[in-house]
Amino acid sequence: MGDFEQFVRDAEAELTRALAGHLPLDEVADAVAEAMAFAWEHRAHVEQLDNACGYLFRVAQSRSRVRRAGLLPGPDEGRLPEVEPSLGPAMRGLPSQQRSAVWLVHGVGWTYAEAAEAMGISTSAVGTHVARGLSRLRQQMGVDVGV
Amino acid sequence: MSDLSTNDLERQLRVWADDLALQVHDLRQQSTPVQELRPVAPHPRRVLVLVAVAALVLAGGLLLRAAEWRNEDATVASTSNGVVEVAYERVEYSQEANLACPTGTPAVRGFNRSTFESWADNIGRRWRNTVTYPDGTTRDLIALGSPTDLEATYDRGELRGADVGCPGVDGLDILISEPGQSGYFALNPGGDIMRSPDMAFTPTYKDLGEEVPGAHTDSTGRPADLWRETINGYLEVGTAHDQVPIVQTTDWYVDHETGEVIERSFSSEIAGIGTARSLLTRVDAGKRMVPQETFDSDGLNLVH
Repeated sequence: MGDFEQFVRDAEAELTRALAGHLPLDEVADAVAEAMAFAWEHRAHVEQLDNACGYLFRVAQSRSRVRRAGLLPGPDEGRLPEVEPSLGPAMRGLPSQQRSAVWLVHGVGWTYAEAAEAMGISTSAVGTHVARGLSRLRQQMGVDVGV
Repeated sequence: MSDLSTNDLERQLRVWADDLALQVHDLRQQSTPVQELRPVAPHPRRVLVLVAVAALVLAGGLLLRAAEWRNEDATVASTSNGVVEVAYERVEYSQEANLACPTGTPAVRGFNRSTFESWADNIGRRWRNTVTYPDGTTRDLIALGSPTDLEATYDRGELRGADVGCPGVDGLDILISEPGQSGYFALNPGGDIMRSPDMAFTPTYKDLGEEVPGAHTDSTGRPADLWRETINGYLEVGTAHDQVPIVQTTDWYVDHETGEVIERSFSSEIAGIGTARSLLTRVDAGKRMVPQETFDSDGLNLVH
């Protein structure tokens, strides 16, 4: 990663999607901007990282720290007919670590290792949280759907 | 029952994530005036230059702590002869709640108190937790490798701490739960785990809170500096996603001489529902010489 501007272009979209699952939407843009400013000030360190996005995700979260309020709005049935409406309440009902792990791995597409660095936990713990979170989602969505 | 496969869920999560990112983009395009999506104190939109100025002030402190955390000044050393020097900590954990749940008084499943012990061998890159519950049962965890990309994790015993909240109510189901469920836990991880070349940024009370002036004592009467973080927001509660005000307060009681946290309390006060609170009190800590067998994984289950 040599060109900082290229890094910002590449990382911004990924970081936005990751933070959209953890902050109210009206705070995400500011959080991304703060993280990028931090990356600029510490670019010598950030350039050496294998997973700069995960690192900056934690930086952004540490600046914001709004827990739960306004998280994960929707999914709007009108905008997203292919997404089951029960997915939103089911996700919001997950314990925070499970919700984060499921969002980062399956919503954003990060590897377990990348999610682990972003969450500050072990790769194995990410796997546990993802497995339990998905199981709980299926259970909740199955209960909500025609049973 | 739903026959949703992982692929179905993954696809739906990706679609949802893409849509939320698009909504963020749309909000950014409408950057003046600031969109108030929730009626709390406005979060002013800052341009990159202004954020960089603020970050520069904070960066000095963060860079200094990052340098301190790197292994150039490690004070924990392993020895041979069957013993190893570790950083040890014993913390008493408790949680309580006074909640008027919509579904009635919830039954308590599990314990509201436990004792956490942690042993950190930073040179040997090994960490251990033992949690002891009031009935004498324990759970253990041994982590090997680095803090963020462990070579192996071993565990034994059941998680027996109670989840505190209103079961079955969206947004209120788990308000407080026992720490350390996802891996190694210590009240002062910044001083122990993260003395590592591959340290990732870990915010501390200095990043998250503000010092409260004056003389303070923790719950045991120990004099301390007090740092506090207060967050005002809203929970979306129930199937109707009613927005209920919540105030979350974290207090860190800090030893003035060492800068280490000796006690941490966290509380959630939810309008019309009540308060849930947890307390972590350090009762013992310091460098100790322990047998190498402290990190022996025999009898524990390999997690990964």
